[in-house]
Amino acid sequence: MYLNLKMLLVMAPVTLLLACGKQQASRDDVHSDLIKSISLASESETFVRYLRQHRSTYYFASGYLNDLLNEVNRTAKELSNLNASPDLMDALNVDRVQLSLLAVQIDNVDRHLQQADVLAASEDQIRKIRMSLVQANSSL
Amino acid sequence: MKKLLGITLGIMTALGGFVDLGQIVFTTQAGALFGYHLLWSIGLGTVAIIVYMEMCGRVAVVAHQPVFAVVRDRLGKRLGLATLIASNLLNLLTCAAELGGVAIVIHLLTGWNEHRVLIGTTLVLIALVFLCRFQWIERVFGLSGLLMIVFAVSAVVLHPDWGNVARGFVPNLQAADPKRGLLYAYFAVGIFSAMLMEYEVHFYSSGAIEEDWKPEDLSENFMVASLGSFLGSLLTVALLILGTLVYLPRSVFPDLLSTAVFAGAFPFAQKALVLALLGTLVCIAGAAVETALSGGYNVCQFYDLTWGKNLPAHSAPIFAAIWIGTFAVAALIVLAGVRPLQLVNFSIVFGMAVMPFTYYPILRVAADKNFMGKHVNSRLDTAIGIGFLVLIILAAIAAFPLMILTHAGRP
Repeated sequence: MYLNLKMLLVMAPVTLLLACGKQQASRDDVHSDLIKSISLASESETFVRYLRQHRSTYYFASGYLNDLLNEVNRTAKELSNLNASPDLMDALNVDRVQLSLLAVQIDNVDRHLQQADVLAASEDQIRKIRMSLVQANSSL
Repeated sequence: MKKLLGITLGIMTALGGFVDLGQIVFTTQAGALFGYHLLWSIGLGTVAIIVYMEMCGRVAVVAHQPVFAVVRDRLGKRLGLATLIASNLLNLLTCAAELGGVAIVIHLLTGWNEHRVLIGTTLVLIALVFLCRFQWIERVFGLSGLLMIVFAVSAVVLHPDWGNVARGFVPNLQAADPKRGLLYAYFAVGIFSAMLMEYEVHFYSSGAIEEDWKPEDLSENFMVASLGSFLGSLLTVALLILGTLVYLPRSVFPDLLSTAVFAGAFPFAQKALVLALLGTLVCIAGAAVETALSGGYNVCQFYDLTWGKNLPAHSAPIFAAIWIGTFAVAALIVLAGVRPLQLVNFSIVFGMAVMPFTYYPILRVAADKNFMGKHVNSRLDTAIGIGFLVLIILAAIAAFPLMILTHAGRP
């Protein structure tokens, strides 16, 4: 929770700044981006649970998490080039912030693959990220 | 035993053909988006590829005409040349995607650096193809590709609703939401296209000549084409079921090769994960070999040059230079930073556009009594062939607009 709040405080102004003077996104675009972010969060959550059950090999886990992190960063970069009308801006900002948080969590899992308590905490954080994204999506 | 091993041509053709990088990810995505509702396109694609693979084998054996000799004779030099260029460009892009996929899988298995793995894999595959006789290539890739069976076992262990699976084989339009309807059409066309990729029939018909099949072997031709395709199709169905059971309920849209492989081991643990990775590795590497060799076969058959994997390289220098060159350029494309899955999306749709120009000439020759004698198509064969050709043409027309309208299948 502490990590989430801290990241929100850092990321919110940054993402707001990035949002100025960018490509205009439609409601459909924002919706589609949120679906992608929900997918990434859900996928990460599923895999962290699998990891906690000691069912993955070390190299697969590391490679898969790296792929997920790259995908999250790529999506975040795409979002940073978008602007939206005021009624969509909240959802877009939630998407940006939550993706940044997701990247932090995936990186955290990758660095603590063998530590059960860290994995459990990260799974919980990723679940919260996913739920925030789902909420933003249903508010559209 | 020899007859049994002969089946490996069909297995390698089908596994490398439609259980390749594109199909693995594409089919899992289709399951994650539409559940079992697109199983019918796998069924349709399977019957179509069996029909045309059998025809290609028969034409190769009876008329001694491999696919690109038929394309040249039936389409004329100009259109034939355009088809040759498009087909080989497609082979190159697909080979690049598959090599990139091989590097990803080896990285997931060992943690080795992907770029170095890519270079090493390309060299190993070139050496393997260079040193092995055709029969051994097909045996190695055909039999070890059966490791993919772990995907089918996972799908069964997850207890799909078999009634719903059976209903998925009946086409049903999802037209309630226009965007979803377009996505549905895109995935239906994409799955159908991925199962009919031209390099499969180029490789299969050339393989029949490499293996020196005679008209008396024609009964086996149907068996080899059917069994190999049926097996590939079974694995494709398993991928779609896994997408449905693992990812649909979790709202995951699998966009990575690692995600699709993960589904293959989802109900199990580390050993199954390693088997899923190895099976994927062999299938993708097999597809890379198929596409590279097809590049060589196509050019040599079109220009009547000497070709044959079992000939020494100095006896078929252009053939050897083209398949080795295909590997080398494909590796450079991936090293330049192009993402394998981007290439695959494009090659599936581009492949659909080229497809009619490969399948139409085959149908013409197979139905020509002057060429085929007593082995000519029956009326039923020709009618089925025409039916599928019409579908192929419709899919070819729809492929590019659907790709644009759906942003290449983005939900």
